[in-house]
Amino acid sequence: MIDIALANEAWEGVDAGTEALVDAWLGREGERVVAGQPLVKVVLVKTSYEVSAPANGIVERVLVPAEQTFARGRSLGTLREG
Amino acid sequence: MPEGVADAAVRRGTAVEEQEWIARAFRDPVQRPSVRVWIYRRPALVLGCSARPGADLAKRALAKGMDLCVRPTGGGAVLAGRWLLGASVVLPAQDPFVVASIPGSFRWLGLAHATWLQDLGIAAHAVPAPVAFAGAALHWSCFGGLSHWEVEACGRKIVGLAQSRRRNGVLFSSGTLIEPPPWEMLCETLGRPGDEAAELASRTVSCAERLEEPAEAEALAQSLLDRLTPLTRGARPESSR
Repeated sequence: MIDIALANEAWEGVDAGTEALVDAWLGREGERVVAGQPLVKVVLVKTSYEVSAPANGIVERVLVPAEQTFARGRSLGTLREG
Repeated sequence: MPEGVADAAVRRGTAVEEQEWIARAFRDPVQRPSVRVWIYRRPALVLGCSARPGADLAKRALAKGMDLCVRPTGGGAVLAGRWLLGASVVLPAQDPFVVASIPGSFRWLGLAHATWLQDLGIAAHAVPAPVAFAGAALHWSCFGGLSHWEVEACGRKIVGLAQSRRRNGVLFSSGTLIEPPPWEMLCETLGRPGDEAAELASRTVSCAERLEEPAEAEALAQSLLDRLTPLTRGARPESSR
C-alpha cells in the first residue's frame, strides 16, 4: 500500500499551521491508475497542484475527500500497487 | 517573436478570452514558454479554482454587466477590468522556474514585477513571506492579503500572484492594479458587507495613485511584457532564480 500525498518539497517555506485544500479527486476508489496520472487536485498558497499516482495500481481509499483541508504530511489516500 | 518563446503578446480582451487562451495552452504538453499580458475591455469577476459559483452569483454578475469565470489557479476573487493588468506565463513542467517549493516558485515572478514597477518610478517590493494586514482576514479576495512574493508599495498590495501546476505545464499569473478598482462592485456582487470595500481600498494601491498620473494601460502592458518575456526564454539574472 502506498500513500498518495503532496510532496514534502512543495510545502517548503509554507508557514506552520497553513493547510492545503483538496479541490477535487480525479480518480475514484477502486479505479485502476498508472504512475504519473493526475489523481487529486489540491490548492496550496494560491496554487492549484495535481498530485499524481505514485505507481501503477488501484486507488484503495480516499482519506481526505474533496473540499476538506489537510496538513503537511497527511496522506490523501492510498494506492494498492500492482 | 523572441527566440525560444512560442508566444509573447499584449492582448486587449476579456477575462473569458484569457481563460480560453490558457485552456488551449495546456491542451498538450507545453514545449516552449508563452507570455500574454491582458488589458481587460470589460469587467469580470474571476474566481479561484476551488470556487463553486451558483446561479445566483451568475445572475448578480450579469446584472452588473460583468462576466463571471473560474480560473485554473488558486486564491481569492479578482475583479478584472480596465483597472487591472493581467499576465499569464505558461512554462514547460520542467522549466527551471518551476522549483519544488510552491512559495519559493513565486520568487522570480514577484521580483520581476517589483523591478518593473521600480523602473516606472514606484517604490515596490516583493514580500518573501505573507504579511498580515490589521483588521479582518479577507481571504475571499485576492487583494485582501499579501502572500509569498506578492508585491507591495507603501505597505499596500499592488500585484497579486497565483499559479497552476499540471502534468502538461505550469501557469504563473499576475494581476497588477493600474487604477483604483471599484471595490464596492466586487463586494456587492459577492454579497460582502460594504465596509469590506473600504477595507480593500485601504490595503491596496494602484500605479496611477503612486505615479500621480493616469495609467496608460497599453504602455504599462508593453513594458511588463518586455520585462517578463526575456526571463522566460532563459535570460535569468542570478537574483531571479
